[in-house]
Amino acid sequence: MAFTRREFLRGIGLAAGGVAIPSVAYDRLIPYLNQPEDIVPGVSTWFATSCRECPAGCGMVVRNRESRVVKCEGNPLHPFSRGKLCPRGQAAPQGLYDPDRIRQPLRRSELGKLEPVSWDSALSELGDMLARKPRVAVMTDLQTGTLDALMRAWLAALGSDRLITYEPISYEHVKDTNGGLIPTYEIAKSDFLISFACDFLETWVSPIEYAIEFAKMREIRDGKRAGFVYVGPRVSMTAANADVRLMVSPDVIEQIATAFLEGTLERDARKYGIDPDSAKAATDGFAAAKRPLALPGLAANTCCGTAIFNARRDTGLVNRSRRHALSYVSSAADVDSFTRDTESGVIGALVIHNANPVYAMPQSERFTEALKRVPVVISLSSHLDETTAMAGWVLPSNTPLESWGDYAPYPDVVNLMQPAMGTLFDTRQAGDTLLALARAAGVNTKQSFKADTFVEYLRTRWSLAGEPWQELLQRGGKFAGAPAGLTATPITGYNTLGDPPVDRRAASLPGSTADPHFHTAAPSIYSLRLWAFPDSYLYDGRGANKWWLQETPEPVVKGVWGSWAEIHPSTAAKLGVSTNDCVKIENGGASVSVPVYVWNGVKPGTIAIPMGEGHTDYGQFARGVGVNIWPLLTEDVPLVNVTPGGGTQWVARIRGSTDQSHRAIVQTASLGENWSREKPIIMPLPSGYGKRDFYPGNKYKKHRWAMVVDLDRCIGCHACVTACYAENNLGMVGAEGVFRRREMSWIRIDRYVFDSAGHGYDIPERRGDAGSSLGRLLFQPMLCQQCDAAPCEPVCPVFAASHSEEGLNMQVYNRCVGTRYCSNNCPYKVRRFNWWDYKWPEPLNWQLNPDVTVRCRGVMEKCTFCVQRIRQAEITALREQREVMDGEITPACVQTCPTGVFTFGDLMDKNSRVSSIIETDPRAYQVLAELNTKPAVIYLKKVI
Amino acid sequence: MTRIRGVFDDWDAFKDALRTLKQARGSGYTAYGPVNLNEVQDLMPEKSSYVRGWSTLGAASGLATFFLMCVLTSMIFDLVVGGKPPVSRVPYVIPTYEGTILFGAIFAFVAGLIYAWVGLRPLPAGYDARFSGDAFGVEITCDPAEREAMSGLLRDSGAVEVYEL
Amino acid sequence: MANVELKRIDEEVLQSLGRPSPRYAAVMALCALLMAAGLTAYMFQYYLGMGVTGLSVPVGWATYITNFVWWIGIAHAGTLISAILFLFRAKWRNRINRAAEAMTIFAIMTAGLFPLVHLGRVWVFFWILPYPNWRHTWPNFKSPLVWDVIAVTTYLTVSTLFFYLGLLPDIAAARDRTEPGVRKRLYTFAALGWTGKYDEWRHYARTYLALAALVTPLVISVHSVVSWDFAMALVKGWHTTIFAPYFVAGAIHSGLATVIILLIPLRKALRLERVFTLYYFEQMALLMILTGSIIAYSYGVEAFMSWYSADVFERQFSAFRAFHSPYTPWFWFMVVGNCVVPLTFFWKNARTNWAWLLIASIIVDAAMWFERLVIIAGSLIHDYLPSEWGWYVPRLPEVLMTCFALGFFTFAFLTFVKLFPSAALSEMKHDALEREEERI
Repeated sequence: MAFTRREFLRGIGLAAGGVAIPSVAYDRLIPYLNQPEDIVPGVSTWFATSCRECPAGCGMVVRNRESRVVKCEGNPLHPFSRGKLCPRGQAAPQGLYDPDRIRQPLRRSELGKLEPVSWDSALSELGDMLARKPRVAVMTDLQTGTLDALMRAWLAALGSDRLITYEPISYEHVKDTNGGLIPTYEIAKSDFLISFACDFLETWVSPIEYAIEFAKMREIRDGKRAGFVYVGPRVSMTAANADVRLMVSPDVIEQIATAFLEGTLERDARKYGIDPDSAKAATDGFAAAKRPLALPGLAANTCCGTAIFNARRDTGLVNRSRRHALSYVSSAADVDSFTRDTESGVIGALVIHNANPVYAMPQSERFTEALKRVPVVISLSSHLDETTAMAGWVLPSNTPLESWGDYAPYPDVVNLMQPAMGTLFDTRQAGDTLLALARAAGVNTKQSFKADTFVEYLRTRWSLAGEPWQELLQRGGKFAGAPAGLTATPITGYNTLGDPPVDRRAASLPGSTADPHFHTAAPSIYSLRLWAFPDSYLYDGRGANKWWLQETPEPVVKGVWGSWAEIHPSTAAKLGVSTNDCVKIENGGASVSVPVYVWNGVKPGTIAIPMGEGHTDYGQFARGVGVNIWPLLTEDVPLVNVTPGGGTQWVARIRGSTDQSHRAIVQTASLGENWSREKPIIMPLPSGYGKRDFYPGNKYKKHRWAMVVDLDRCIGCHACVTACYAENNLGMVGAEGVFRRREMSWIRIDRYVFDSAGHGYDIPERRGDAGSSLGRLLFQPMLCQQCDAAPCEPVCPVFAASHSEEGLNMQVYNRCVGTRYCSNNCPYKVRRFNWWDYKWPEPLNWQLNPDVTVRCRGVMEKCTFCVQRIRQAEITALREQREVMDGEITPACVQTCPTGVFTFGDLMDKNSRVSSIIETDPRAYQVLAELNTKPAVIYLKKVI
Repeated sequence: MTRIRGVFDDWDAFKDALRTLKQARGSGYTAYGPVNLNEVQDLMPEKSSYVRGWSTLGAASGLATFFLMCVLTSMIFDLVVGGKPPVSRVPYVIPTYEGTILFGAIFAFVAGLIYAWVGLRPLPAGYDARFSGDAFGVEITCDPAEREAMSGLLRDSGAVEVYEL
Repeated sequence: MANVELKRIDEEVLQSLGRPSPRYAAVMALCALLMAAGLTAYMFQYYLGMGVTGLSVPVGWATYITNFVWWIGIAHAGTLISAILFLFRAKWRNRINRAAEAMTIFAIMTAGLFPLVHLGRVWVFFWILPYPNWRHTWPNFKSPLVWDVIAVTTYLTVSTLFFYLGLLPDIAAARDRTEPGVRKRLYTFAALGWTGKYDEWRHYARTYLALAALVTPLVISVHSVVSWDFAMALVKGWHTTIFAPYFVAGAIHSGLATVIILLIPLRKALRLERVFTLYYFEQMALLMILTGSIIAYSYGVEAFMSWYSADVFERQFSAFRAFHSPYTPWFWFMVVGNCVVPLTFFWKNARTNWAWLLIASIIVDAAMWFERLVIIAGSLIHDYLPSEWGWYVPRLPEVLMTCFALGFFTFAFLTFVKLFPSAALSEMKHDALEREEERI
């Protein structure tokens, strides 16, 4: 792995690990009286830890400035995330600084309100309660290693063994079809990947890891590359990246798998409702493949299909020895019987840690009822989610960024977690709370846990395994095969009542494959297949309290701040609805009303809705936004009743046409042909000026920054967008702002339909993207092109927009008077205007990057290539009396992109990567080159 | 010297008076009236006016000032925009053009006022309000000796009233 | 006899300065109301930010700039009538030029508000002006906006001078025909001691000529510069070389319409029927046929060139504007209103019909306003990258500020007609005498 200097620096920064950090319980910056040796004002320190925003467990380094966490980035030493981070990881500080975090312990009063209480009284009272030996149970989100062990030991000490690891998305069927575990699918080694509705680039088991592997797999070697077919009812981001997309009803996915193997797919194409051409393309690809591999989605039949497929064409790419930690999530059967126990009142006291079953559980109301039967419910969550809101006691935990711990996504990857800053509020480490409770209940923790604090417990466990603590802390964990005792042990689900596990596969296998339109329960009520997919950023709903994640547009529909139901135009015609009309969706006694978005990216007869919205609690950003469809999910892909009506509600999404209208904005090169450049690149250097120019052009002293964007690598994951939010203090505008086209993102991911009909005169808001089938989607990161002959500059009356001697289009915020002329004149429309004074509710403003100014209302702002990072590197180089090295500077977007779309560098340096790519790569082109703005962002054509 | 003024309410009589005066004296008289007419100007002793000259001068100075302003300021505040050199002369034509007109006009106006000696001043003694309405006036400056002759001349040519200031 | 005629002119015109009627007061009150509403809206915008408008990222300019361009356009007719027609010795100008010039000045003032109103940070607007300062910062003279500032201020200054010069003898006349009092003192001051001496007249005439000669190229240049705000940008629908003549013609077009709209009620209200007779309106109507045809030609050329260029952006844009845009109805309204409606003036009984004159002029003015909007916002909503295509609908503050403009302009104009003679006395007397010459 290329080791850039920045990462090296970070390595040094990590040395600070393990040193206690002063708490930042004050709200203004004052100089240190006696300065901690490891904190230099103005110099950031990096702490290695593990990302806990989802079960993937990527390695993360956290930037700490003046003892405040300001940004999260990937840990470059981490074996599978390799220094990359997805939007959810980027948004981790938002959880830490969530204005609605629980700030001190709470207990429910007689009036039923949660009221503040001191730790001591809480602990003593609960201690007495526990001392009376009720049947205790613990329900936690996925934990491995130390905390998991501690919970077990804790339960044991209190004479119980009831640990439920609850993950709403439990990959049940993947496990069922893989001998009870989730294997590693080595997609990089395969030459033909087929995804059965498996969105492994967004949300599936380990998105960053699979995105990186996917990029590897798709690399073009001597004119060929591995094919990728997606089989599913909806064009997800993953599907958008497929060579061939087989749009089928969820019911028939398993048949498709067999059809593939038997080669009958092309023949029966019509039967499955797919067009023969794509069927043929897929079959041919499969026929030619040596090492095909299938990936299972969440629904049962996708897993069965995959199982059959991989079993028949076993190419050894399913690595069952490297199981993912998600394998240890309690099975649905366990959860069922646990619920049953709770209902029967067996459970005397329940400790809930981060799990939110009240919100995120199929038919959650059953569990909710059961929960009311538990005499004492103690929540250890940091946020007031729906479950915590029901608890009698809230003993708030630190967020992962404030916590010690370890997490082992794989047996050979064990991340260590350390606090990246002092605790923000009066909260405690979950482990410490448990120990304190045990102590209060009269357990001698020194004896039975060999520790009084969780850190001690953690260190003991690791030192027992003979690990070099400091070094591992600095590396962020133990990565090359973990020693015994550290790997998480499988949870054998308990069955006190001895019921056999319910076979949910049988329940969820589809009845008929006929068009569901025909069996309508009543006139004007249609039953459609509900395709509930985890939202790209909110996942199962846990991301909903982070406004970055609410505002990052869903890659394909571009939806933000709310829920929508995607239906096909033909379905819409049957229902007599159009985009923004609400429909009522009923199933299993629950019902929601949600606006539809009509487009052809979803199979007729299917209605696709993202999970994760519709919280009734969980903070100001989550509450009352969208609808919660968990209660509807009686099975994986239930048949739901859809009734038109219920008014109209605007589907909050970033609008704009997906139609290139023959403007060659995203250019493509076809695989197998030998490519050549149609147009020469107009260099953003004096050499780029010629006959067509009136003036000779700018001379640059030392550098001319430029960027190469490889469209073929872009999967549209929006990690860059969120990274930009974090790095550059971008204001969040909310649904209303998005409605008025005032989103502030400096970099955006445009998407265009490849084989568009060219009817380019209409905005999709009015056309609804209608059409029989959706062509292939092309993603294009669009940021300021840092043009050399920039149209935005000369029109500014006050020189607020002018050209730096390193080639950047500078925007001088405090000189700007706000004429917006520059924005009008920017053909790429990448400038953003401050329509209001954007606010960061306390303490979210603590996350603001101190290196970047916050803009006031009435000024224009734009991408700066992260000029603060450029300056940083230049200053360092100057101090060390050397030139800035190529690759030393990584803007935030470049830094976090999992597939390596961006290359940033200096055009004045002939040997820099950008120079050589622009020099040699035949795919290089400039967007809107004909305008002769001489953009310094060079795109590489998408390979089709 | 005395000033004798004749008031005419008849336009032709007024012109006759001026004609005779022009032949008789050629100078030492002036006229008042509510309107300006070229034929009256022809009968006046004085014809020249340097307003145009001043206007031209102003225009020239405006041209220089504005062009120099553009060039010099962009030399002080030398920022590169849109790939143009800081001092790029072509766009400066427009401010220069406007400046030329601006200064030309201001100079003409001020010069006009100064020449006509209109200004913030009280009305001169013996100002006759009729001259701004419907009457015309001829005023002769002569030495007391000719007083009778002149007033006679004015009366003969049809002045409704002759008086001495 | 001459003096009888001259006396009559004085009486006729000066009587209009008499005590205002209740209707006059009512209109003034209405204007005040409009202004109050506008200012309130603007306060919100000032304190909250531009977010209160309907603007967005593709559409950075819309109603405010539309108003700016439109009002500047209105101004042009005044200068045309007073200066250009003066140089062409078009006698018929002499009665209406005073009112037209007044309109010019107030229109420029109104227009001048909008560049300020549309600024994101109006409190630092003066950074656009060139003034020496310790920061050694200067405006960017390459920017069309700075050209605007210079052109418009020049225009305001010069046309004010021109206006005042023309007014001078008339103020003197008014001075000598008012009883002592505040008014008298005002006129005495404003008349600068004008005595009507023929030496004064001599220099006066030369100055007037010089100014007329300077204003004429100015009026052409000002709207050209305004049009270059758009022509200099590379937005499709803006980036056209024909814009300068096209905008100038449009400006005069709307200006003439506005003069008609102003004078028709005025002659009734101020009992000036015998001053502003039908003849003058006919002349203006005929002139509007010319300007209207120039505009029609420009529309044609624009469409043709976008087809002839064979440029995908140009072609798609023209088609979009004409058939697919949310502004398509307005587009066609502007085509009909600007090009077809004035053609009716070919018919004598159309252009001699007061009602039709008024209606047609109102249509033309409205059409011209929408032309500006269709050009400005209508082009921005559909530029190069389809992913950024948008739309624009004005919101309350923008509507109210537009009302403010109307209120302010009318208020100022009505104040003027009651303060100074709204027809050029000396010019009318001049004509009267010359007519007499001809009779003899």
